[in-house]
Amino acid sequence: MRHLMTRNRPVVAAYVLVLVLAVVGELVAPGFLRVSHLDQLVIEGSFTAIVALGQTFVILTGGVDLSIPWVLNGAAVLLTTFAHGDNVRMAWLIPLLLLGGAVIGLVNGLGVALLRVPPIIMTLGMSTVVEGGLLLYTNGGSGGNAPTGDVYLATHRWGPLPVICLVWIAVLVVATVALSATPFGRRLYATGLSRRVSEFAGVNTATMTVSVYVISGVAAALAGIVLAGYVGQSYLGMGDPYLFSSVAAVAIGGASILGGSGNYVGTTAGALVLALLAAILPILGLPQSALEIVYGCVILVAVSVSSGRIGRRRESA
Amino acid sequence: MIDQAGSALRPGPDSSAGGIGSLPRLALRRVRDADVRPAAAWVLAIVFFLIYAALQPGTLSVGQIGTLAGDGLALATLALGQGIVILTAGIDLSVGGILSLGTALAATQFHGTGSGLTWGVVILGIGIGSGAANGFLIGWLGLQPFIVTLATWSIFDGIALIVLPTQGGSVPEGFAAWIGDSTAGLPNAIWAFLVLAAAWLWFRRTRLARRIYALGSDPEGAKMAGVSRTRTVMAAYMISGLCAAIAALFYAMQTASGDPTAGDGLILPSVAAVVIGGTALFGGQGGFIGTIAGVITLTTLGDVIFAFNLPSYWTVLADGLLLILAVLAGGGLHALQQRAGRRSTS
Repeated sequence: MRHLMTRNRPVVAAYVLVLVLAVVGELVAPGFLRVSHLDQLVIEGSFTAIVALGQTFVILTGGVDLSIPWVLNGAAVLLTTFAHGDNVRMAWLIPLLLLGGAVIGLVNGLGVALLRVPPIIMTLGMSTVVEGGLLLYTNGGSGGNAPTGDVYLATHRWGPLPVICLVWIAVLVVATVALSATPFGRRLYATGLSRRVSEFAGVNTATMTVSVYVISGVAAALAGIVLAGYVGQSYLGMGDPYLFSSVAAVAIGGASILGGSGNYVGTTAGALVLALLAAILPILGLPQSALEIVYGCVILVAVSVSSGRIGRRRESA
Repeated sequence: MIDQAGSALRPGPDSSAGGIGSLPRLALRRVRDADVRPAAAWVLAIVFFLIYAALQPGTLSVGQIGTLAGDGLALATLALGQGIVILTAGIDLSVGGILSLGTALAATQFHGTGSGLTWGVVILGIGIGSGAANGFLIGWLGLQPFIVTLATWSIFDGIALIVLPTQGGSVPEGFAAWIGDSTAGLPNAIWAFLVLAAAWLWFRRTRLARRIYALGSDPEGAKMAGVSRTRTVMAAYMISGLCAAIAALFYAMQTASGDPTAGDGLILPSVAAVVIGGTALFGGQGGFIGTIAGVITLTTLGDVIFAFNLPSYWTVLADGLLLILAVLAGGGLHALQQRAGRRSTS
């Protein structure tokens, strides 16, 4: 029990931070917590939450995925250009785009697991390759408008809840069950803690590594699809903020950057913290670019705190 | 096969020296010192350059080479610092943010000689200071280099966007003209390259450089030999920050304006130039002479694409592919060399 508490302390801290920020928001701008505004917050947080799903899995194995922004951007641009505003075309495009994300993730994973290219280099290279391909495809222009079905997916409500929020909850449940109650999850944590020991224990770490990058590619493509619906169109560079925000969400959620500890419940809190900050900063009169400064500071603080905690635990062990 | 290549990518006490006596170990080290990778990089660079020269008549004039040097100068300066960080087995993603902020400040604050000098010093100070912050977090707190520099990259990008929200601004004409001018018959950009190379050759002989190499190739051994990890790492990131700030000035000269996102597109090329030049990502092996070949390769690649009348976007795609291929080729070459070395000593 005590073990459970200490292990989940960073996650609890992240949720406390969500509450504190919500109260701060209400104090600086009365009406901050009204339902219509909260909806907005949740929708904007969901894009970060979806990309951070992939980033969480990758970071749990001790890697990192820097190709998320351009995979996201690619999915958004291809959806809007190929669908031409047509919902039927969109219906068969979405599986193809998710598959495309999976293929990019597969290449990333194979490069990291089999060819032993460091994850930063592999995914940075892949990011640039996708960016180059996309620039060539669009010739530097924007990608057109999103079909109405996509806009519906990103902004519509079923009852009180935005559709995208239900997607987020589904992702949260599936990811949490997968991580905490399946052999897959156990192997994933083992791989992140020690590749060598896991291999002795019969875990195929290469398969684990490849699968997390595939998950990340699919998640980034999904985020691109819904983000295009939310913005109503696609344009080059729309994925850029999501590199920093995905890493920041995972870091706030208490996952260790070294791998082996953390979970998606924490990352969900991280995404909410970032969404709240993004809403509070303009109220305080700070420009949107200040958000990038906040992302950076938040990553540094979260990582310093968690490394101190792990250091202490290793000393006491 | 793959596994062998993989383990050889991490030459450390485990793979190269573990369990072998000290004499063969010395011999092995000698084989490793005569690294073929920088030489291979120069062959590649010369091939690219000759292709370009064949496509574009008149390339082999001093003036044309000066123009090419101007195109590659910011990248070369960035890669000098990046290479020194990579020698410690680290990586510096924040150079992109520092470069963006540097050009944004230059394009908004340089109005004449006085303000140019003052703000030039401020930009260099920001570079050194941010390098010190990176180095403190990585060296003292022991945080991962990529996460620290990813965070500081984000911070400097944000500040750059506040200083200069969109592309624009301008630098004084005299400042921008320097990079195209000549001194004593040689274009200034070529002089700058020579100064960078000379600075490296001097640095290579300093005690700090020896510590950086020692730390990168064998952290445990370096610690036992009394090398302070914290101080050495801090110095490496400070040099990288300073180089990024100088690169920002070169970039502002070259474009004669400012761009608050200029650096984002240069992070990958800075790493790619270092890796193509034969410096190992796992630290301790390589140097700036090979990196210059990497810079020449990447710079002429852009011009070759231009000469073929292809869209310039091909450069972005090619840079990414080249980086991954260079990592694989570097690992492969090293593995072959190690095996040859092992065969000759055993």
